[in-house]
Amino acid sequence: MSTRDVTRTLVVWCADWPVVAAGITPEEPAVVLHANRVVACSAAARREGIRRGLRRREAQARCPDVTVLPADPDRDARRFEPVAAAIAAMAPRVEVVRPGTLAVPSRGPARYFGGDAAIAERAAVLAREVVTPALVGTGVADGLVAATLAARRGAATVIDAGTSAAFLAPIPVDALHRVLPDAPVLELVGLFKRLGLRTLGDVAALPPADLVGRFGPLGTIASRLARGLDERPPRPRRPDPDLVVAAELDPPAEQVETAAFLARTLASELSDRLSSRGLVCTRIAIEVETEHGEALSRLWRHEGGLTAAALADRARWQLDGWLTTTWADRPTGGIALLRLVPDEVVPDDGRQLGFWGGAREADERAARAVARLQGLLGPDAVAVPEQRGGRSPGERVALVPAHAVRLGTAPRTGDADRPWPGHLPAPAPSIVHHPARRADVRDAEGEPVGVTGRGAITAAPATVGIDGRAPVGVVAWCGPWPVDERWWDRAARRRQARIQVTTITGEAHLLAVEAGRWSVEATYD
Amino acid sequence: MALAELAEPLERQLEALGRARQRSTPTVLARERTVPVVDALAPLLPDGLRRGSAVAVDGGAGATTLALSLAVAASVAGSWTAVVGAPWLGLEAALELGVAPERLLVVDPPREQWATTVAALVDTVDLVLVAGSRVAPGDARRLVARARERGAVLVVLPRTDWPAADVRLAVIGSAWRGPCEHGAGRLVARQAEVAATGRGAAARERRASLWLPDADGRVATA
Repeated sequence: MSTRDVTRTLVVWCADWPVVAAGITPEEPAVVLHANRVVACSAAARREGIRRGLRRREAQARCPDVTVLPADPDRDARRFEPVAAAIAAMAPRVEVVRPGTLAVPSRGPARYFGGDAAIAERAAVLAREVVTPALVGTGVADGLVAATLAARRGAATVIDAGTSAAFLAPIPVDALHRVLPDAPVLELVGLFKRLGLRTLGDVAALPPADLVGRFGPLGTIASRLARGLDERPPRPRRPDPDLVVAAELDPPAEQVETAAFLARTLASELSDRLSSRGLVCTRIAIEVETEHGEALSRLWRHEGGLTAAALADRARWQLDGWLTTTWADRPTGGIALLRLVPDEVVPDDGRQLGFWGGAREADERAARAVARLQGLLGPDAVAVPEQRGGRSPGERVALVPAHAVRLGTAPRTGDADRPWPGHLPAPAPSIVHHPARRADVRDAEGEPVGVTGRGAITAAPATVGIDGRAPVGVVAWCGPWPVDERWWDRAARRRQARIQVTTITGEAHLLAVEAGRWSVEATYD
Repeated sequence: MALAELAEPLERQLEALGRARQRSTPTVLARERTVPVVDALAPLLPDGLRRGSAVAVDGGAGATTLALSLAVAASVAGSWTAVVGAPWLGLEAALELGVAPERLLVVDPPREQWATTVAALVDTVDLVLVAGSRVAPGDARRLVARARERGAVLVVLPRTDWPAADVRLAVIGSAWRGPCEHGAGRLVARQAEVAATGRGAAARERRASLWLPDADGRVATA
């Protein structure tokens, strides 16, 4: 194997990072859940038989006193920054692969400290000083995959130069997904297994050209990784300096959120510039300068390429890591300048837009609009509708912040299609009044109309006066639809009845009566 | 001499390439410069909604439903729709008419950010439904210019004062079907008379009788 084709890499890996970041010791049984599935568990929990991917209930059945923690990528990233800083004191160009794993090109440091084993041990010691209870593995090997898998073996594992392929050969093919935790990779791994390719050696033995022909760009990456190479040949050329995006903050930002908003705008701008050149960023330097002239910088890498949202996430995590820490480690001043510097860009071959801009393009454009408006108005300013169950017209469609959903995919319908006794049949009113407008409903004799406890109307409504204005004649009415909600809860119970009326002006309203008072809830405009 | 001989066929080849390039450049058809509308609205808007125009909807009862119905066909076809400044809008009604919920953005900006928000959406979304009490003529002109550049359509919701819209749709009269004597029945369908006036080619008033909505919850010709 040519050594030019691969970077000698040191990987520092902290076991069960999401659990460690939450401040749990390995002896304490704990799981971190995302979407009701275990994404990480402590060593004690693993001894009880808890595995990743289990449901919360299954995990609790296997270990009843397990501590359940919600997943929090911000926390993971924030707590990982001291580890990155500790390793950065030993070697330059520390790249955070994801919270819990970082990589360093090790050729230079190895010469300085006297060999691969020396730096692997030194890195393990430095990391353990910062994260005391964590199990830290370090590994040095050719390429990120071999080094990551070596680090997972335990402290200070060194795979000699040129032997990475042999080291990888007997490892099950699932390891690819460990290194590249992406949905397409998981699919590819499943397919490899069905095709009888069970180890990385099996994949490496296939001619690379055949893998590309069958699986496209992902096949190239899988083939290179299985042979112990980096997923792409290292590029000595630096990306075009025009791609750097930067913005000054005036006044300097002390709060993470203030800087993170700006980072989001910058990320979207950078993503626009990259995509206009058909490029995607696989390694990004996040750099800040404070008002006192301190300069901080950290590299983040992602094999699949960073989308605008992923760039913004990493920038926010990093800012959080720098600013949310002890006073001793915190920069002394507010952030005055924020810069995103693409450190490695590759041609974007991962996705194909439709001819002359297809639906995918419209979705991406909408996502950019959302990012811009969030930067302008705040993170929750842009909302998307989500159908929910309910009886009153305002309840049946809720607005959820756009960043909480995947844009362009069909939203959850929740309980919307369950029977909701008492809810009004279609069509739905096109105007919902917040708050409801006051109404005065009277019968032909001018007496107030009511609805009895048994849900019967006392008299036919003849006039409606809205917001104290002159009464308008009622042409037709229908109802009532009585609703008795939450009768089991003394504080939240509601008993009301609704009627629809059409007036001589051609308008149609939805009126509700509660405790003898009428209101206009909605209008069929 | 030899070089000149070589150069001539090269030139001819380049010329042929240029012709081929012209032939293969996609031409923008008139229908691609418009956003589609549902069939029932075709008598009012024979060419659909022209990209870069502002359509104001107003008039009597049913105007909001009419404004929402303009977004249906485009939304189904894959366009994104945004609603700005209308927290009162009954979104369930929009979804019932057929607007795709996964391509609908709702923004309610503070007053001073209103124009900036609409501008940001016009840049990226095909249909922007706007509402606000009064729109300054300067803002309106800038937003329409931006919409023209980006190929978006501005739909002005009822009770919004928008100067100089390209097309105005108004509900002239409407009547509900459904409620019977003595409180029986329910609101089922509304028949509405709609008039469209515009500038230039659309100057002649067009009228149509529509169901807004019909018994199936859709917009249909009455």
